[in-house]
Amino acid sequence: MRVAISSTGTDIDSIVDERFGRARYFIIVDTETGEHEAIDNEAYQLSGGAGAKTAQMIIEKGSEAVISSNIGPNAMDVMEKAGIRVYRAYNMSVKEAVDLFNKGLLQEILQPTSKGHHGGI
Amino acid sequence: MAKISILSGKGGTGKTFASTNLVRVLPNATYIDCDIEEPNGRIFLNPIIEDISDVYTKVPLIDDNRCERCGICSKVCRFGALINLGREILILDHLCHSCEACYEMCPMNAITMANRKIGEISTGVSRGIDFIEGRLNPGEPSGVPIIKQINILIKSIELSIVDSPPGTSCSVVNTIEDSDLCILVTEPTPFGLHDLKLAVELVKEMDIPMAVIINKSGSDNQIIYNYCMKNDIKVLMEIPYDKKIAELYSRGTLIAEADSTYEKMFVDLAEKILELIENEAAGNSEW
Repeated sequence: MRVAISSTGTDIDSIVDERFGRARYFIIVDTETGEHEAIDNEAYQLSGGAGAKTAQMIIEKGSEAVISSNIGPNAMDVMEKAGIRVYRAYNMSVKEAVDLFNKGLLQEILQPTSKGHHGGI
Repeated sequence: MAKISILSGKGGTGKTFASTNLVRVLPNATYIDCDIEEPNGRIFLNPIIEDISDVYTKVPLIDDNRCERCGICSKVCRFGALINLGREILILDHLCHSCEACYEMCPMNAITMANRKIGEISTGVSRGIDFIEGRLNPGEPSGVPIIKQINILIKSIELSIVDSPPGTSCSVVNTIEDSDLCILVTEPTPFGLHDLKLAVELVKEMDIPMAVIINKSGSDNQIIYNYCMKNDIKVLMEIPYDKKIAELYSRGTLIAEADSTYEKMFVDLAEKILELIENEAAGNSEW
């Protein structure tokens, strides 16, 4: 299974980025093979719609699950419609998050954890 | 025809306080609330609303029979309002800024632009004063279409007193457009001065004559005077930091109606403003 984890850096020992839409990077891990790649999240500095744009990128990368600390209403909406499940990890490395995920120990996020942030226009 | 806009940069400096009292003492002026995210002039003017009209913005509508899910619309959307799920395109209406890029770029001509209501404009009368108010629905990204529609109404109004939103963003730019005079309400605090500077820069950029009112006036007024002197901006009025004002305001009472001293202050202000506008119209901009 391909899992996308919001990350503060490009390697697997980086700390999970607490933000979804504004995450600096995503690390996509294949949980069967352990292979992973880092993606520069271009949406992180958009004035608005960062969550939705990030969600689009996750879909295009063929991810089947997402791990982050928080997720806003737009991204949650897209994830739900795309059938991608979201799990919560906080204050740990990407590697630790994937280990917990593999053991089924991460809690699923079912509701947006923030009300969203308004971008300027 | 004259349009006078009341703005401030900083929120809570007294735009609505100044505009509602000013309109009360000006003969034949119309009060126009363009503070569309929180229009509260009506609390003080208690208008009888005669008409409410809806304001719409354009959002994409996709014809599923034509759409081939190529995702170009999603790529060209800067706001993340169109998401390609593969089997369908998801539209997040509230992120759309109506730029129509998706409509222009769709290779299948599958997109049309449909109306979506974002707010309304109320018109009415408050004891002889004509009243117009724009109101944006909560959660909407931009109220500019409402302000643009109000601006069309303003073109045929003799004397408009326009209560602007705070800040210096799109909604303010559109509100003060084509004004004959901008009145900047500020307070003698570092925050007040900081945001006054931003507002002054905007008004200068738009080449509109301006003057300042100091509200909650007190011992720190000099910071505002120093700045205004340096920038050749006239201070028209000082409104004292007076508990009586706060008390009446919290009850929704216009002080120009309840207190003769303050009524006179606003009458003086109105005279100065009318004079400034006449001078400006006569091409004498030495004030």
